[in-house]
Amino acid sequence: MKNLIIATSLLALGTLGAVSPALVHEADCPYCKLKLVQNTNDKDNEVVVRFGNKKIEYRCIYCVFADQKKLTGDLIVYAPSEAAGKPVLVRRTGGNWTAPEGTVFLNAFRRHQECAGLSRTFSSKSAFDRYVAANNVANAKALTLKEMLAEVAKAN
Amino acid sequence: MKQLTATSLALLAMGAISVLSGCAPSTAQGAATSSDKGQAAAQQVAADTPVTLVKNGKYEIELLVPEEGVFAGEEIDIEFKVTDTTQKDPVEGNLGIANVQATGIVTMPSMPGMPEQKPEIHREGIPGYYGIVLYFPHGGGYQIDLELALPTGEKFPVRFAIDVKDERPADQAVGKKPYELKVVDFPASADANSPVDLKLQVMDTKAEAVQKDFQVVHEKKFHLLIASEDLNWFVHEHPEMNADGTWSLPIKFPAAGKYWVYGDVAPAGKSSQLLIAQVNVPKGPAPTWDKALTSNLGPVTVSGVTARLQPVDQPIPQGKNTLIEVQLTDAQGKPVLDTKPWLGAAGHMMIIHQDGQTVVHSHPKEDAEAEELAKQGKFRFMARFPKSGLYKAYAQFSHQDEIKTFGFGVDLK
Repeated sequence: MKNLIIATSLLALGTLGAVSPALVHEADCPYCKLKLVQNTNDKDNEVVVRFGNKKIEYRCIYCVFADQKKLTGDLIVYAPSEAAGKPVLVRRTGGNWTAPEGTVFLNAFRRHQECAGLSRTFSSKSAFDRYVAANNVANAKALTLKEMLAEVAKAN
Repeated sequence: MKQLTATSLALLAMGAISVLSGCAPSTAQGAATSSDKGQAAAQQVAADTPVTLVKNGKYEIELLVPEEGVFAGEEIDIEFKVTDTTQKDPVEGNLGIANVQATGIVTMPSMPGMPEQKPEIHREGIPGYYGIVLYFPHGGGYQIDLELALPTGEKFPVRFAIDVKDERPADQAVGKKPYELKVVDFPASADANSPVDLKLQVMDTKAEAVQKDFQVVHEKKFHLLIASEDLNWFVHEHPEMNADGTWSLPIKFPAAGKYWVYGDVAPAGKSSQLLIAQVNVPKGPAPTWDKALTSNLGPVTVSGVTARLQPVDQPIPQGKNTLIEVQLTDAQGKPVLDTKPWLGAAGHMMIIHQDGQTVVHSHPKEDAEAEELAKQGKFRFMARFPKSGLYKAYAQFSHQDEIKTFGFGVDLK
């Protein structure tokens, strides 16, 4: 949702984004504070975290993992994949993260201005390879969930 | 310089305006096609009853209105979700339908002549969820017609109806309005004794650019309303736009003082926007009119025509749509039956709250009842009074080659 207004006011309520289902967008990422990047016709960008009947949107999957301590309970992350409208569901259940078999992560951004394009999730290594090639991503490494979480933890 | 003529009058008081009441969801089976005029008429009544859940065969389409409701004067992105009730999703319940292509049209059935809004619709991050960016110029019942095209090839229309609350008080307003009215190069030493070129730009606040593309509404792209700060002097003009998007109107203000400048415009594809600015004319004579804003329902006489204002609902309800009637009579007390349409309507009414911040531009209803009333010299305008206080209402009619402007005062306790 593109209501800067409501989204902003709700995010300011605390609990880090106890946003009702009808909100968000054009708001800032709760973690990196940069503008969320809207979905386009052929590419998803918004990372949605659902907990209970609430949800909150982040700019990239890195931001979600980096901010996870602020989110209590079980989480479901709708992480944009290589296919529009078909996000990869990454879950945190009882504190343990899981992702569908074959899921790989890209984490190649240097500045957060780049994070939406260079911190992403893919349903397969081949999809990762196609994205990296199409976007000329230098030194890209396909990370497992465990490796991705470790990278984020190390950086924070 | 263009002289301000018949529309330039110092008058009395009264007004009405915007935004609506709560949104209790209700369900509609099936959906009307936006081209079905018969159903559209029926929906005008239904628009007063919120419809936020629509079923079409196995599909369910739900408009997710925020719990606090929707407020006029704020751009909002409301989500709706499209689900298949025959397939389950472990997280979302019913399975969300991804990659639905949707277009939409938003109208306000109770406000004839309001331009259609063609909102942007986008896919949200969870499959089956979509966002629709909306702006409501004032409170009331609105109708949202969607045309959905599913990946399966199925296509069908969906009609939602929502109530929009009146605009929040300025100190509670959130976010930036999508458009602003900018006064350009207004001389700091403006003198009421000399004409000044009033230059205005409509700014797209999101794009941070001058808006140049507008819809024609009631025969004009820009309805410029100027009122003295006390609201007792008023004009309704139509400036011309230059290539750079600047609207210009040569004007000689009648007296020193501050003036409200209202721009009633509809940017292409967007809803009507009533934009507010203010100018100060520091030099010149003092106003010749009575600056007190008082209750006055008439009679008010202009060029031999007398007008009286009669609220249809008494007492006038606050925060709800209501009708107010203006009756015109001639010097003999007989109904005036020879008014002519002006700017695409039988009459125009501007209702302004005493704070100058709440304004509505209304027109008479256009139905069989309105035709019958016109034969009695009566005109019913849709109005709205969102808060208590004094309102100024200016009713304008074209009569015998003259635009006659009648000013009333309405006190809403």
